[in-house]
Amino acid sequence: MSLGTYYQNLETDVLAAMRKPSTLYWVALAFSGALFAMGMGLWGYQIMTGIGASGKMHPVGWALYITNFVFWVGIAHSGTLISAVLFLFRARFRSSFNRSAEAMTVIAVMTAGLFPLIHLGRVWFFYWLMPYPNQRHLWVNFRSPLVWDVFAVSTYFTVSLIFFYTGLIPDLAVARRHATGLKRWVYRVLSLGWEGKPNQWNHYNQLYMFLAAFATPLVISVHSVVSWDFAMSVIPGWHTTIFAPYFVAGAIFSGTGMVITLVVPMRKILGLEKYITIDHFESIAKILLFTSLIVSYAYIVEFALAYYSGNVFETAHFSYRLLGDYRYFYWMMLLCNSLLPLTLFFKPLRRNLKYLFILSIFVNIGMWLERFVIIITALAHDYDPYNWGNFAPTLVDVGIDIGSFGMFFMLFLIFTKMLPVLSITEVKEHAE
Amino acid sequence: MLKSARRPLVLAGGAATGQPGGLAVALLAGLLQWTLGAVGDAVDFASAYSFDRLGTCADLARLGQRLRAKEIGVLFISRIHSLAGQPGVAPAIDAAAFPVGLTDFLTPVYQRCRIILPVPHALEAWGDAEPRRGLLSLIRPVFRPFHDTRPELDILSTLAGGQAAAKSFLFDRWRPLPGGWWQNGFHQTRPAGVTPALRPAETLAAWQSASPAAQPAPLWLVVAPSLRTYDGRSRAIPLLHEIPDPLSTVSYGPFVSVSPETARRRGLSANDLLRSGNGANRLELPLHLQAGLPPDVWQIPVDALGDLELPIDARTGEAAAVMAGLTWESTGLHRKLPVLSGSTDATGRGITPGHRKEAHHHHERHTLLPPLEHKHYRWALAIDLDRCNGCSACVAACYLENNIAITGPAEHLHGRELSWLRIQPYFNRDEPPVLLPMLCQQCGYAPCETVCPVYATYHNEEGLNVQVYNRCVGTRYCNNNCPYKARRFNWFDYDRPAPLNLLFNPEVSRRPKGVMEKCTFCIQRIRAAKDLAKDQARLVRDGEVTPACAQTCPAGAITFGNLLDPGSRVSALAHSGRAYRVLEELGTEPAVYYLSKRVK
Amino acid sequence: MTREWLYHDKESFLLKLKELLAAGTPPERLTIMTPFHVHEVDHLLHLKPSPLKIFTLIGAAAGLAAGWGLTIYTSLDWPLRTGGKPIVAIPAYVIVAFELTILIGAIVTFGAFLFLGRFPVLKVITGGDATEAQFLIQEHREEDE
Repeated sequence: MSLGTYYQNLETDVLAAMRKPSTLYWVALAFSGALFAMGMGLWGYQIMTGIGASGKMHPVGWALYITNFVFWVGIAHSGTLISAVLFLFRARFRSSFNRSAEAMTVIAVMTAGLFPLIHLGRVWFFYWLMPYPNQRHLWVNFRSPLVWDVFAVSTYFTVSLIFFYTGLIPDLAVARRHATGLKRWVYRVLSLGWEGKPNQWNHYNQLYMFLAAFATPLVISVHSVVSWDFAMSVIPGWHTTIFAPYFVAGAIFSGTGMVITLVVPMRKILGLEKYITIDHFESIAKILLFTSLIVSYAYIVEFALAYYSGNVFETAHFSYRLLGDYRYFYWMMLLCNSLLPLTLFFKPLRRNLKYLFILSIFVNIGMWLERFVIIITALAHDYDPYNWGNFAPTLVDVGIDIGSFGMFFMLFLIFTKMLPVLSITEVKEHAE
Repeated sequence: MLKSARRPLVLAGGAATGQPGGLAVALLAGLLQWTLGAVGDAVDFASAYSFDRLGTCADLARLGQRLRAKEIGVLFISRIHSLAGQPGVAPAIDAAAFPVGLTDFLTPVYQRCRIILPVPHALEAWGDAEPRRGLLSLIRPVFRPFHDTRPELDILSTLAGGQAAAKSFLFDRWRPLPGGWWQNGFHQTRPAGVTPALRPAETLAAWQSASPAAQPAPLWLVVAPSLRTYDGRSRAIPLLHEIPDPLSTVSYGPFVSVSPETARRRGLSANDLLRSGNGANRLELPLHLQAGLPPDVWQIPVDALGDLELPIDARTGEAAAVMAGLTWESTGLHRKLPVLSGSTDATGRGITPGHRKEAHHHHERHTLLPPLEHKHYRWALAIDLDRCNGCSACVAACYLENNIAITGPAEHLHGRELSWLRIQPYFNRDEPPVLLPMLCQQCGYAPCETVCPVYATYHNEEGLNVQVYNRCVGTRYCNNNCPYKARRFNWFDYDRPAPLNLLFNPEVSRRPKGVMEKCTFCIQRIRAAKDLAKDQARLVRDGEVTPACAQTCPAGAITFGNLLDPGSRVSALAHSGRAYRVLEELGTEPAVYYLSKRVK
Repeated sequence: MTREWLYHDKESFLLKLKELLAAGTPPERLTIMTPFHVHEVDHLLHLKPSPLKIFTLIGAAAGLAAGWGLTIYTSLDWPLRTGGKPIVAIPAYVIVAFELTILIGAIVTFGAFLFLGRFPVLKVITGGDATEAQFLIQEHREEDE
C-alpha cells in the first residue's frame, strides 16, 4: 500500500479507539472506579480514627503504604525509560509503545504520590513537608530523604507530564481534524494551534530532545532517591550502598512488566496489531530479561555481603529474610523475579504474547513482594531482639492498596478513550 | 565467696522456704548467717517491720473454718482485695451473720458482703501507720474526697464511742506523745536493742522436728508473688496491667510459665491453653515459654491462682510457695498472651554487659562528622545494672509523670504499647540473666534526627534529642531509624475516662494521634531547675534535677546529671570501669551509660 | 492567489520544494506543513537552529542556583542540629539542587518553546484545522497580501 493510504489507515485505526466505548469498557471502568472509591473511603476512615486502623505497629512503622509508594514510582520509571532513554538511543521500536508508556508513567506517579499522604500520621499538615516561607522561620529538613522524595517525585511528575504533553501536541492536531463537537474544541485548545510548520518542528525537536535528556538522569535519580529512604537509615537490610542501582534496575523491571500487562490486552481490544508488532514485544521482553538479571545479581550481592561481612546483625537479618516469618514471600519473590524471567532466554517464549502477559503479571507480583520483603523484614528484625515484632495487615491496609490499583486502571482506561494510545506522528515518521 | 565478702547476708525465703522442707532451709540460713559472725552487723532485730500485728495464712484459714461453723456475727472486711491461695474463705464470708465491707474499690471479695461502706482513698483521709517498730507516722489528706465517702476511722470511731471525726480521734491519741510530731508528722522511739544470741538446744529441737526434705517430684509448681499486683489486690488499677511483668514481658492476662525445653518435650507451644489437674480445682491458663526456668518447673503468679488452694505449713502458718505433683495438660485451645518482647536472646550483639563489643577509644573517632559540642550541660543518665532488679517502678513513674496513655490488651496484642522506658530481660547463652532498662538514649549522633522531614526532632545545645509534638506530621521514619527502637507512636487518640483524667500531669503536654513521642529525660523538670538557677544567676547543680524514673527507683540504680560537670555523680559513674553503652559501635554516641561489674 | 500542492510521500514533496526554491520563490511566501519533522526542509530553507538551548541552559542554571540557594539559606536561617550532621550538609543538598535543576530547566524549556513558537496559535484554535495527513506546500502570491 502507498504511504498515503498507510497514514490514513493509521489515523483511522488509532482514532477509532477513541470512539464510543463498549459495554466491556464501561464495566471495567465502573469496577476500577468502585475499587478507587473504596480505597478513598477507607482512607477517610483512617484519617478519622488514626493510623492504628492499619496494621502497623511497633517496630514496623512502615508497611503496605510505603510498599505501594515504591511500587508505583518504580512502575512509572519504565515509561520514562521507554520514551526518553530509548529515544536518546534512537531505538525505533519504542514508537509503538511510548505513548502508552508515558501515560502509564504519569498515572503511576499520581498514584504513587498519594501514598506519602496516606501514611502520614497527621495528613492535614502535609504542606509542612514543603518549604514555604512563613513568619516563624520554619523550614524543612533537607538532610532528610523524605524531603528529597518530595522534590524528586514532584520534579518527576512535572517533567513526565510536560514530556507526555509535548509528545501529544502533534497527535492532538491530528485528533482535532477528525473530532466533532465539544471534543473538537478541547483538542483544538490542547493542541495549542499546532500547524506543523518547519520552524515549529525545529523548536519542537529541540524541546523533545532536551526533555528526553532531562528525563534520563531523572529516571536514575528519582528511584535512587526513593531507595535512599531506606539506604540512609542505619538498620541492617536497609543500610547498604547497592540500593540505588538495585532499585533503579528493579523499577525498570517492574515497569516493563506493567507495560506488557497493559499493552498486550489493549492492542488486542483496540485492534492495533499492525502497529504494535511481535518484534516490538520481543525487544521489550529483552529489556525485561536484562533488568531481571541485574536484580538477581543484586540479590546475590546482598547475601554475599551479609555473610562475608561477619557482622552478626547483617547475617542474622538475611537469615531471617530467607528462613524467618516472611520466608514464603521471599521465596515467591525469587521465583517471580529471578527464576521465571530466565525462560525469556528462549526465543519462542519471547515472541509468545500470551506467555509474556502471564509472565508480566508474575513480575508485577514479584516486584511488589520485593518491596514488601525489604521494608517489613528490616523493621521487624533489627538490632535489639526485644524489639522484634511482626506486622499483619488489616482491611484498611489492603483496601487502600487495592484502591490504588483501581485508581491506576481507571485512569488508564480513561486515557485510552480520551487520547491516542499510539504516537501517530512517530509511527508515521518511522513508517518508511 | 561469702567468707570473703565484707558484710555477708544470707536470705532465705520464697520458694526456698515455702515448701515442705522449708523450715529446715530457714534454720540453715540462720545458722549460716550466725557462723559468718555478721548477725549483729548485717541484721538488725530491733527495727523490724511490725509484722507481729499481722495474721498468717493459717489464721486466715482458721477464720474460714470459724465462718463456716457460723461462729462469726459481724465481720468487718477492710481493704482486702484478694484472697488468692485461700479460695475457701471468700465464699464463707456470707456465712457470717452480718458481713460489712469497707473499701475504696469493688472486688469479688466484697460481693459477699451484706453492706458495703465506701471509704475514701488513703490520700483523701486522716490516718496513721507504723511501718517499722517504733516509727509512728501521721497521714494527712492531700485533697478533699472526690466522692461521697466516709473515712474508715470515722466509721469505726463512731461505732466504738460516738466520736465522729477521724481527725479529732487521731489527735486525741497523738497529743500525749512527746516531741515535735506536729511539725515532722512522725514520732520515733528507738526500740530497745536486741542482742541476738543463739539458743543451741532449741535450734537442735527445731531442726529435728523439721520435716525431712521431700522427695523431688517430677513436676514442681512454683507460686510466685506477682510483681505488679502481689496477690491480685491491686488488680483494678489499669496501669499495673499495662506495664508488663519484667521477666516474662507479659502485660495483660494470667499465665503459667515453663521452660522452652520442657514445653518442647511435652509437645506444648506458647499460648496453648492448659488445664491444671488438681482434683476439683480446674484452672485454665495460657502457657508462656519462659527462658531461664529450670526443667520441669512450672511457675504461676499468685494473682493467677483462681480457685487453686495452697497448702499451709502448720508450723509456720504460711502458705506454700511450691506445690509438687500438679499436672498440666493441653485443652487444645489457644489464648494469645500479649508478650511485649520479641526475643530474650541477644547473644553476641553487644547489648548486654557480658557480650558487649570492644568500645572504641573516645579520642579516636572514625567519623566524618564534626565533633559534638555542648554548652554548659550535657545531660546523661547512668543506670546501674547490678542494682536494678527489674521492679518496673521507674516505668510506672514515667507513665504517670509524662501522661503516657494506657492502650489496653487489644493494642498490646498488636504490639502497640506506649512505654517510654521499659525493662528488657535478656537470657543470653553463657551469661547470667540481665534486666536492662531501655529508654531513648539521647544520642549525640542521633539517626532519628537526620531523617525527620519537618525538624520535629533535633538536637538541642544540652545534648537532648528533643521532640516537638506540634511539628510532628507522623511519618514514623524516626522510629524506623532508631537502632534502640526507643520511640513510640500515637496510633489513635487515647483518652482517659473521668476520673482518671485527673491523673494528668499539667506540666507535660498530651500528644494527639499521629504524633511520635519518647523519653525526654523529664525535660519539664530540667526546665524548672534551669529557671530556678537562672533566677539565682548560676548553673544547675548536681542533684537539682531528678527525672521521675531516678526519683522512684527503690534501689537507686538510676543517676541523672550533667556530664560536663566533672564533679557530678553521673560523670564519675560514666567514666568508671564498670560503664558501657549499648550498641556503641554504631557510633550513635548515646548519653545513657550502663554500669555492670561484668564489664571488663 | 494561493497555489497549493499536496503530496502523500516525502520524496515527491521534497522534489517540488526544491523545484520551487530553484525557481527563485522567496521562502517567506511559502507556507509549508508536514505531518512530521523533515530534516531536509531545514536545510533547504536555511533555517537557523532553534535558540531553545540557550533558554534550557538559563533554566537549568537558575534551577541549580535555586536549589543551592533554597537549601543553604533555609538551613542557615534557623540552624538546627540533626544527627550531628553539619548545618550546611552539601552531600544532601546536592540532591535537591540536582532535582531543581531538572525541574526548572524543563519548565523553562517548555516555556521557551511556547514563546519561540508563538504558541498557542489563536488563529488555528478558533479557525480552521491546519494540518493535513500529507505534505502541504502553499505559495502565496503578492496580490493576496
